[in-house]
This record gives sequence, C-alpha cells and structure tokens, in this order.
Amino acid sequence: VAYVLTAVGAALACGLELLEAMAIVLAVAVTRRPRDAVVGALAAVAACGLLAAVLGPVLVARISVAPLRIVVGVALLLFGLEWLRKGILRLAGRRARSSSYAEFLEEQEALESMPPPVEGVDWAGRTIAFKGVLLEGVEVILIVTALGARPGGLAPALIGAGVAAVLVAAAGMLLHRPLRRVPETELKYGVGLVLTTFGTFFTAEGLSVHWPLGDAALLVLLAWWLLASQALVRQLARAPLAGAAR
Amino acid sequence: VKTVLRATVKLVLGETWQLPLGVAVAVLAAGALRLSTGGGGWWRHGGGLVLAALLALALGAAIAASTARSKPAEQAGTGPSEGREDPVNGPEIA
Repeated sequence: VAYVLTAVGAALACGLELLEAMAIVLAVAVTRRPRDAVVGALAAVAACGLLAAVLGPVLVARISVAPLRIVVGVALLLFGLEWLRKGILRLAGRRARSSSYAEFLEEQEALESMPPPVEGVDWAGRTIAFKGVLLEGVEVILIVTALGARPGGLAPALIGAGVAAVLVAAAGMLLHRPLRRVPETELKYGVGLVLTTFGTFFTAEGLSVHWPLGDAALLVLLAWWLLASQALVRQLARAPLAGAAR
Repeated sequence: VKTVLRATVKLVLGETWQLPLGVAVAVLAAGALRLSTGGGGWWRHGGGLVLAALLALALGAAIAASTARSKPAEQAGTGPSEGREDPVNGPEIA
C-alpha cells in the first residue's frame, strides 16, 4: 500500500509541477528562441540536481528517526494541505481552475511585449525559462525527498517521479496541445489527498503513535481526508456566493 | 535576493499564513497530548486519529479565512492560473 501510494503521489506531484514548468519553457521557446529556452531550462535542471544530491543525504544522515518523521511529516502536511485547500476552493467554484495552458498563454502574451535581441544571447529568455523550471523543480525535489525519506520509500518515489518526467517530456515534444487536455484541478486535488495522508501518517508515527493496521492505515487516512475535503467542497458549494464574498 | 526569499517562503509555507499556523497549532497540540500521556495508553493507538481531526479543523479554518476575504471566481471573471495574482487566495505571504 505504502509503495503504490508513494509512487502515485510522487508521479502526480512531479508530473503536474513539470507541466507548469513546461508551459513557461514552451512560451519562451515559441515567442523567443527555442535554444535559449532549452539552455535556461537545462541550467535549472542542473541546479535542481545539485540540490537533490545535497538535500537527501543531509536530511537522512543528520536527523534521528523520530524527529525525522515529524520533519518529513510536517513538510508533507504543508505541501499537501495547501494543494488540498486550493483544490477544495477550485472544486467549489471559489477559485479559478488550474490550467497550465492558460499559464502558457499568459506567459506568451507577456513575452511578446518584449522582443528578443536581434543577435547575441537572449539573457531575458534564458532567465525566464531558468526561473520557471527552478521554482517548480525545487518543489518537486522537496516533495520527492520527503516521500522518499521513509525506509523503503526512496525507490517508489524515484520511480514515480521518473515515469512522470518521461511522460511530461514526451508531452512537451507534442508542443502545447496536451496542456489543454489534462484535468489539472482534479489531479492536484488528488496529490493534495496523497501528500496529506502521508504527512498525517509520518507525523503521528514521529509522535509515538502505533497505527493499528500498519501501512494499511494509509488507506483509512486517505478515506478520511477524502470525506473531510468533500464535505468542505459541498459546504462551500452550497453557501451563498454573496455571503462568502465580503 | 528579496524575490528569491519571497518565492522560497511561498514555496514552503504556501500562499497564506493561516494554514501553516493551523498545522503548527495542531502538531503542537498533538505533541502536548503525547507528553501528557507519556506516549502510551490511548495515545499509542488513537493519537493518529486525534491528529487527523486537529489537522482537518486547521484546513477548515484556513478555507473559511480564504473565502471570508475573497470574491468568488465567477465574479472575478475567468481568473488567473496557478501562481499568478488571484483574487481568492486570501492574504498573500509577503
């Protein structure tokens, strides 16, 4: 159970973040020069690789097991509950739905107002691609590191992230068409559920809780968060809109 | 440097202060319960459910705070996408 949930959580989180990064890189490539977009993106990938190489071993080696579980659990809770909060607001119609395609169009529109230099290196294009990939990449690394910090968690986390990276890269080769088809709001809500489930599980273990069902308790927690979040969605959807907006 | 710091804080803590504060309160309250029970007794088997309930309350409070300060997406047009200026985020972390 833990293996599958870790792999699915890592794959979804990684895939969705990479999709957002790809939207920015594609916008730079389409409106400016593809080469500068790729150079900026590759530099960010290298920076993220360095961060991953440093962060993982330090986190595991320097902290003993119980505090590590609390640190990892709270990190997953911060990410997961934030994704869940946004997902609940979107599903209840209180927030615009997530769309990497809309982000692509916005980025493209913004870039068209400042044309690239006629000759020489397009530093502006490279910087935009670098920043976009770096910010999304750091989030991927934090989530995958947290999911993989548990004994036996590294393999499924890396497999999930790797599969997602390959799929998103393949989608990127077909340019922006796949961006429109991805139900991002629902997938992000699902990532929020999985990350929050693991966060609750690890934090409780760090606080000396012994889950009666072992790893199978993850499914109970997943059901709990699904019910709790759906109750919030329904409650928000029923509430009068004018009353909610002040 | 300021932009990078702001982006990092937003990346780790999210878009609002209510949720990280709620998580902190829930985990600290669970820690206090664990200390008061010595980590044994009912806490050992039921503490996880207490933590889950406290976290759900924190999530509900954060959502209530977000909606109380915001306009619905319908009134704000199509609205921007992820990571952009959004009228329904609640107070942004500066």
